[in-house]
Amino acid sequence: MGTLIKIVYRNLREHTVKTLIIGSIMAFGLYILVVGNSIVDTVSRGIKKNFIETYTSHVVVVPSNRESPSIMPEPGDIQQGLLPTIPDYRAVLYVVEASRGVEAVSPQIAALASLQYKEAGTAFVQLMAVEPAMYRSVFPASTTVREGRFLRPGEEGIVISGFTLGMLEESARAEIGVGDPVLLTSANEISGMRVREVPIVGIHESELGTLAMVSYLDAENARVLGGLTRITDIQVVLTEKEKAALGSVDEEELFGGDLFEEVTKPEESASVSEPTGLIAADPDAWHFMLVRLEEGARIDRSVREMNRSFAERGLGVEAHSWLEGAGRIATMTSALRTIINVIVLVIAVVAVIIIMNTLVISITERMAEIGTMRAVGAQRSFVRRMIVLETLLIALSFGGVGIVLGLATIGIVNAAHIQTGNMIVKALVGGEVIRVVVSAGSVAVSLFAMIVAGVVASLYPASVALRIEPRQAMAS
Amino acid sequence: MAIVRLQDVHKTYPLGKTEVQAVKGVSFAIEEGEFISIAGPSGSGKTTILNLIGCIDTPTQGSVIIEGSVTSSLTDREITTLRHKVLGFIFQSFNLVPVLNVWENVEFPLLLGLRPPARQQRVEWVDFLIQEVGLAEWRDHRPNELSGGQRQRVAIAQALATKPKIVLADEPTANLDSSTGETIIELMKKMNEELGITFIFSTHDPSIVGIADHVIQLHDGRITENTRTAGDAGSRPWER
Repeated sequence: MGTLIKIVYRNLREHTVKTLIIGSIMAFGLYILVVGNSIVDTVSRGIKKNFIETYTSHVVVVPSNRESPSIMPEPGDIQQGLLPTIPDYRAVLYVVEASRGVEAVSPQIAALASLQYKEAGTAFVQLMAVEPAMYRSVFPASTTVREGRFLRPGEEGIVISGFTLGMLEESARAEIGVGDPVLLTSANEISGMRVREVPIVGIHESELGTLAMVSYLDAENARVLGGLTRITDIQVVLTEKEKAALGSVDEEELFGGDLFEEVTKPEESASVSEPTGLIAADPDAWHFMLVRLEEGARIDRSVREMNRSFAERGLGVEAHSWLEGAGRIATMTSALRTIINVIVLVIAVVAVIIIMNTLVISITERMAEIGTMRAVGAQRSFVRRMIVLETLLIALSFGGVGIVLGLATIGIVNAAHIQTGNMIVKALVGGEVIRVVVSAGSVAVSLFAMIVAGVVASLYPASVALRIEPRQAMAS
Repeated sequence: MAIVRLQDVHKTYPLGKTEVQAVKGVSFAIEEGEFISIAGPSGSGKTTILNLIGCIDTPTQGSVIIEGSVTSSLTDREITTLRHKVLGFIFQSFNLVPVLNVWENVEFPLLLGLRPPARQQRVEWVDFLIQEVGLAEWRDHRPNELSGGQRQRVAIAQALATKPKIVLADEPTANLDSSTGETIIELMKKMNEELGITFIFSTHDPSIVGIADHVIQLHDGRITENTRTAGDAGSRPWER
């Protein structure tokens, strides 16, 4: 082995130009791999950190009949009233809370509405209704209330996002603040148009772009806006004064029958055939449930165990990991990884071809040497080992250079403390400052990939070398 | 028993759309310890016969038997092992491993076997060979720092490293001036006498054939003479 390494090392030194060509390609390849993988790792970690801590938590529980487990439903689904609720909320909550490793649970409702301030300005608002105490136990720091406060249990109101408030103010040409009432209007094809007036309780901001556009509404109003209602037998008893105030106005005369017909259409769960009572929000109607796990608990295992329990009890819900719950954002991350992988693959293919050609040229020039070795008793395996070892030595030494350069570049970027600037980049890198993460595993995998590429590139040249007969040494 | 035996050996090479018959029914035997010259003009089949004996080529017809083994029935691994243990090569263009120095080139074949000799034993033997070929002062030089004659000396030492029974030399003096060529042949003869190794060399130079004690004369792929001589000029067929 010592002689083999000696021959390989000296040959590489002897053929400096070819060694440098192959080495530079390998160094560049590893540089790209290290930097590219580190960027992907950073983005993955950033997204994971942001989403788990502020948006999706670890596990998402959604009704089984949902097409996608994303907690940011398609606007079309909401408008068409196609967003199903958890069939048996209390049973599901019981199962989830009893599951191993579960720390906290927060149910949520998603809704869309147009926002109006004193009939002056309008803005579109994405709404999320939560149970305040449960939400805060799952996401203690998901959002910052910059003015006012977060919703209290049972309180009606909206914690409006700074982004939405800005749009509303611009549209209304007025300064709007905590305590001001806003009008929320929603319409879907099943429950028709709903209008609610709520006071602004607080104004919040979030580092996560998706959450920064969401406003928190109390669950009661969100259910009414989303048509998550049921018929109750509670009769409203009007005082004489109220009756007098109503006068002889007939609601049929005022609005016609159609609109109210739609509004009061009963839910499927309603037990009455005719809408004889009042419409009331269903207190157990939630679109999904977000589950925070204890430190160190494995997401995949928890998802599996919950799904087993749900299936055993026939609860009609499914648990999914945060990544699936993140919806399109998660797709974006995997697309980014795919793009980097494709770039790496293209570089690898080009590198393998160049390395292969360079090695073939080198072997053709060394025909006499290899023929002589074969003549004096070198087996084919010796020649194969020699060629593969040459490539491996280049891959390791120049690959090391590529790794060092990659780490140096990442070090420079990190030392520069580059501010993220916009919300999307902030969400991707997981903070205010771009800090690229390097994982030892990723570097090791990159080096291994380069070694594999090197060995693959040396297979054909090695087969050329193996075909060299001692006769060619005699003839040369 | 003959160490090398060729029985009705034919060798045909394709040349474009035609075929060239390089060797046409050659038979001879070589005894162990002989110093043999395969002589003849260019194109007579000398190199082909050396290639066949050296297991570098296989006959189209007939058989080449080395130490009782029919070479055409051996696998590549067995042939390589045979070359390593039984045969040594000296090439016309003094092929050596360019990245190894003189000492390392001589040592190289010793390291290729399954059980290389111990380091001390190896050092002593390589030192002895380098001393014998007169290159002790050049032991650390690379082949490209040596003259043609010096390189051929290294090649001889390298060919003898594994203590082979047969050394094949294909026109070892062709690229050397006549006096260097004679020195090389004399060196080969000396090693033949001292170590009892069979030397088979090809040449078209009549002036060095005389040193051989067994001359196989070829012409157009056929043996024209197969003579064992005492090395005196009177028995040299090309001088008759």
